[in-house]
Amino acid sequence: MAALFHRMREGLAAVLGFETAIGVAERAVYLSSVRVGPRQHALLLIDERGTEIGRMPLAGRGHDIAVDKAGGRVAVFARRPGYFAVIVDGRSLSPLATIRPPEGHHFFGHGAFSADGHILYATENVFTTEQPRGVVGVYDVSGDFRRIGEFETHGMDSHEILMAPDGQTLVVANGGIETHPEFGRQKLNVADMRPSIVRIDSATGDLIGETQLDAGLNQLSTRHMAFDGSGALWFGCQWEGEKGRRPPLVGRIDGEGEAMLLPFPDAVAPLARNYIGSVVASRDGTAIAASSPIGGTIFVFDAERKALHAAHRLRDGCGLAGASGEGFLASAGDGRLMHVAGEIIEPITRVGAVEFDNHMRRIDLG
Amino acid sequence: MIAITKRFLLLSPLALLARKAFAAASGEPQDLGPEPPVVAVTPPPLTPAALDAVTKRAVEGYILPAYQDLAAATSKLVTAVNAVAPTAPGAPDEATRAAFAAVVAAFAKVDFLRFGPMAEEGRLEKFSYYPDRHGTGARQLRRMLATPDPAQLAPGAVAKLSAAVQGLPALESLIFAADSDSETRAYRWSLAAAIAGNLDTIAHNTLDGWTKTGGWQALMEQPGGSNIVYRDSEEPVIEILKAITTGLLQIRDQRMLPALGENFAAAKPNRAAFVASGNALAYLAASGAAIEDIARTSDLFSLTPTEAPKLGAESSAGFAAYRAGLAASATWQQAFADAANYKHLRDAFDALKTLEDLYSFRFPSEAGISPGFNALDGD
Repeated sequence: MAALFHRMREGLAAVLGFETAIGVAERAVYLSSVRVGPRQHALLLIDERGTEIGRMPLAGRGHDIAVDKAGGRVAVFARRPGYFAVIVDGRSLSPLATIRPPEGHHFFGHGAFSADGHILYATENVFTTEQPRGVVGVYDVSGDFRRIGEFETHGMDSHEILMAPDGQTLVVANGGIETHPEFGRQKLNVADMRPSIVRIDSATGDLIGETQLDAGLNQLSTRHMAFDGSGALWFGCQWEGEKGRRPPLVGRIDGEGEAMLLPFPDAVAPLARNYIGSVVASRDGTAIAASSPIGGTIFVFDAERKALHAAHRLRDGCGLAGASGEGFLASAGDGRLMHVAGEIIEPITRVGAVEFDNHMRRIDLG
Repeated sequence: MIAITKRFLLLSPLALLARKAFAAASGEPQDLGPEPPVVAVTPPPLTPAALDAVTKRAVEGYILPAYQDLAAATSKLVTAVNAVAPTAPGAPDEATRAAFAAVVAAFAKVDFLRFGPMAEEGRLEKFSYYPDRHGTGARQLRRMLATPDPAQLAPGAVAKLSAAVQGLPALESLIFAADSDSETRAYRWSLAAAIAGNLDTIAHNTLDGWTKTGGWQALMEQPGGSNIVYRDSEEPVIEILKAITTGLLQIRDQRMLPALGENFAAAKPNRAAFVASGNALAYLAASGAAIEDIARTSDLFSLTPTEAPKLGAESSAGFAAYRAGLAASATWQQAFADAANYKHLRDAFDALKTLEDLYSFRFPSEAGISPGFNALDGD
């Protein structure tokens, strides 16, 4: 199998002319989709100091990156409505394959690998029906990179998908917003939204559980998630309702599936501008960071106390990834890279001529 | 736990952090976050005065007049519809047609301003519920016409109905399709008059939201300090820039694309807005002109004086190409009559892409503005 990967990688690199074979030593690196010019996008690989290790051009704007810890690969997804996901060798940044959703589907920009790295799960919009619906596309990425099935997400606008710490359960945030590629990114059902977070058996596709917020929060679109060290699921939302309201935007779901929302104090709530763009856990699992690029603020929560710990200003800051201990790397649309830990935020660098996109991921190359 | 959290926060440095984040250029030192040690290319710093001047020109030279025009147009529409409603004609008279077209044109001047009072209380959606992919408005109107209810004609009653039947598309459907429905014609016109009144209320409430003491004009023109909406002089300019870029995207992806489809064979011209009243082309043309107007009136490119002539020329060329693409056909139906005409619409569509690149990437880069790659249209 490794030989097959190697041949495919070399073949694709030769055909597409990518600059690869960077030779990453054993260390942690960070990946993000970036814009490098008008309608020019790439996958950028940097170290913890922001030094560029390599980049790979993308056919369109990328969004999130799923990490195959077992195989050292990543899958970079096109932003919704997206029609490609590139499987990439994390060490050389060389493309291994491009997968595409079936006719009448598009990707929502997120995916997750199975624990053994053999399967890639991708959130997809099925838009051929009168009422679009979310599914999880199941792709065999152990051999010939083909779609082998799909699971219902029991909602629409299925956004981020995570593999739970048990390695068996998929968790999907259904944002609840109806979109259709014929109408671009227009939100078509804001008045009738019904977001949810569902747990799905990754082997069978069976619905294990579903969490919905109170009916008064129907317009609170659940979109991004992270597991803390205790196994609780943290989620971040985007409010599509009345702009004068300041609903809670961050919450936590315990093992019983019960959601607890953590409202910001009045002095802090306006900073989020009713929008959370990314949620990530620290590597030690004790802290959760949530970003609001629209509000230009990074929020840090104490996962154990279940409480907001600090709010840091970072204009257009959205990308977050665990650094060491309770710390995070945070990236901004203007290329800034910061280190965030508790009440501390420190500049690392500004990566020139690069605009970081919404999400950043860390991979540890052994 | 939440109560404990709040107590913890009150005792924590968060209140201080919040105040720091709100701090603005005026008076207090501005905390923009740590400055990066490495900067690739740095344009000259923008002064608050230069930024404030752009905002003032945009607000007083474009935005307020545009909302005043809308309020004036809706008042005329009320007069026109009320005058003809008692006779319940099969088709609107010339005065009503003209008044409706004027409201569509005035609305095109503001429907890309997706912030401020029009974005509150669902006013934008109530004024024009579009796109309506599932035909919600038509379905609800059919139901209402099947069982006419005089209570829905009472002052303020329309404002309590679904947004899909409160605004321009519903009004258009009622009066431009009245000929086909003689049985309900009288009720149609009465409802149309009520909807026209609702539009007028929305337009005037919006204008008031801008101009009242502490209204949106004050928020934009007096950033910083305790102003939590616009925390420094750059943020109102970013709001304007964002309106331009999202406006361009809105015309392209949400107004044109549903009708144009992927190609000529897949085109669905009736999906465009204001087809029934014959205003589809005029609406698109006015939408493009509006964006060009706010960019010019605000003199946005003054923020990059050395590049302004070049950017200005390219912007003018882009909007000219857009106009030419639309002007190639006399009517919306003609634009879809054959592949050659359709191509002109595609050219207009493509011109918007060029303009998007100009306003969302090149101009901010040249001016040193950070509109926010993620904040512009996050996910």
